[in-house]
Amino acid sequence: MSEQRPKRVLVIEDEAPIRERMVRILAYEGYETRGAQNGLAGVSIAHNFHPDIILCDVMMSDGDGFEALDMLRQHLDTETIPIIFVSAATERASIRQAMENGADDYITKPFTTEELVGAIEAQIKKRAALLRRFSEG
Amino acid sequence: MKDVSVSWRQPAAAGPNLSVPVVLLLMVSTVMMAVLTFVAARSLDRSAKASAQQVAESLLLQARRDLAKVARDAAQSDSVRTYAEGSLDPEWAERHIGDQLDQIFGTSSSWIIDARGRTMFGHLGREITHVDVFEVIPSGLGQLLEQARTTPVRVPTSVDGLLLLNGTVNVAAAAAVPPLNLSSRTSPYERAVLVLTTPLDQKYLDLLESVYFMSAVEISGEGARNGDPAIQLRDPGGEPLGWLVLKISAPGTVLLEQVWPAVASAFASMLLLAGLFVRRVERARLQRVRLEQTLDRERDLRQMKARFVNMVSHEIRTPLTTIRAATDLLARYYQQLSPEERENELRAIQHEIRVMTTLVDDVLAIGRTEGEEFKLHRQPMDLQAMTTEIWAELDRAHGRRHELKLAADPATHQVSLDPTLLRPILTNILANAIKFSPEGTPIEVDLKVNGERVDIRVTDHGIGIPADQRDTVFAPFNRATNVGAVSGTGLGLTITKQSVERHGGTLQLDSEEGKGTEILVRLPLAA
Repeated sequence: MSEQRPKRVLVIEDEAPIRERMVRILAYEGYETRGAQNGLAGVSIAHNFHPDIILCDVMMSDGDGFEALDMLRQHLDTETIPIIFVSAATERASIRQAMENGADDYITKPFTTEELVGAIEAQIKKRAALLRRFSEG
Repeated sequence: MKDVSVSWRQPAAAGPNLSVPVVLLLMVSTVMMAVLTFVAARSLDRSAKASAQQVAESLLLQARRDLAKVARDAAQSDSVRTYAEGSLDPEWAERHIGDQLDQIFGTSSSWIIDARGRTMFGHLGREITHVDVFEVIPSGLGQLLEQARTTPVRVPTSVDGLLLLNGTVNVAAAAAVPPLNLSSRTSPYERAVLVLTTPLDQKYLDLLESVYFMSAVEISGEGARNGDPAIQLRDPGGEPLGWLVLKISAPGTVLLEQVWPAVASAFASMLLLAGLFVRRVERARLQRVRLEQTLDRERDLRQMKARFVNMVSHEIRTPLTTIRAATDLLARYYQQLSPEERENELRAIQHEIRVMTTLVDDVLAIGRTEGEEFKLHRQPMDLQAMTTEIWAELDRAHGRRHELKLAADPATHQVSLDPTLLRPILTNILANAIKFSPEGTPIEVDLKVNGERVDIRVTDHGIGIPADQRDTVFAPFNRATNVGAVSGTGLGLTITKQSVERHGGTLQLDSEEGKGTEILVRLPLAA
């Protein structure tokens, strides 16, 4: 696995002001980023962009984060991509529901850049370790 | 906000395991039992009266037959035949016929009517009487004598009947007395007649009373009184002599007198029991209703709280996220940002702060609604200008996705309204129309002055409001179920309605899900 290529992050978020800033912040942090305004667009971009990680809003006007998660898990090329839910819902039940549905992490709004980057890096490292173990046999 | 937890369970069963229907059934059974007892008692009374009458008639007949038999037997006896023959000689008769006859027969009076039928010798009281039969003949005796005279003298026979003697009803029997020497042609007479009478006296009445249910009997000039059974007494000629009135102590009535208190007591107990049960059941029902009302209120409050928490969660965290992202951009990458980008971030922060301030103001406005007196401040204002200004602001904030079709009456340039109330009304109605309509669809706004009021009609072609939620959308933090993830506080319509009402106006909502919504606000132009 090449360490040279910047990690790719896809941001699925319907609130444009938030989406655009997340994309810019992550770009400043050295990631290659794309943004999508809903789940369907996000799945479509994921097939071509091959992100290393997906940040996905839960409550969106056009299909929620769980639908996007389902669609991503149904395709071979996207099923193993770590997904971090980003949501304004802070109740324990919402977080549990997300994790039970297969989210890899859950960040509540508003978040700091450190939290965002920390969560992304943790998932990338975890995935790299798994891939290494897998390739070693 | 503290979490309110309310658990619902059925109230404990009130009282023993009996129900009102069971008590009512028992009461109905008691009443039916009472009615059956009453019917049976009446029937028993009727039957007792009939029986008493039969017994009385039978005993009367028996008394007559007994006396008739005595008379028949006596008339054949030598002693009576001797007296009869002796009666031809008044002097002899006075010496020999007297109370001896009564002693023989045990009757109160006895006569021997001589063969010539002109005189009789008998005993009335203790005096020997020698009277002319036809002068003293009591009513009915004539018929009795006539019958006795016409019977064959050789065959022992007698007739009987009732007579009124000295105001007293008597049983009477008459028998033909043959001459001593029947075969002798020298017999001075063909026959005499023996008459025995005995009053239908206390002895007979006592006998009747001893039988069956009769408490008293009396001979009366009047017939059945008070429903008492009675037998009419007549002499042989058919003349009425009076009534034998039978006073019976009706057994059914006696039975009822004994049963009624028990039945009444049982019924009263049942009534009391039923009353207690009804009271308890009603009290339990009221408690339950009150509990349900409290629970409904609690549920409404919990729902409102949940809606508030959801709203705060989304509507505050979303602008906060933008603010934080913008400040992070400015703080961390200031040097990499162009002056224009920095300016943009500051404007975004300012915008989101305005959004949050409005939100806080809305929540506080709703919180202040209750019990606060509001004073209307009318002033001349341009409704049309305010509408276009608010529209422009909202349209820009939402990405200019709709076309405004404004039809405004020129008179709306100068109206007397309270702008502090009008602004939230227009802002919320127009914002809803924009937020819940597909991009490109027109929003129609019609402003009209109609006499002393102004009509503001806003029509969109958006998602509409489900029919069952057209009232609930006005509740604080309540949003229609079809809004999806379109952001909102659930306060817009609440504030709109509150502002319209404070302005003394009305709000009509006409909506069809999937087709669109029309809101008509009517505000009076003068108080």
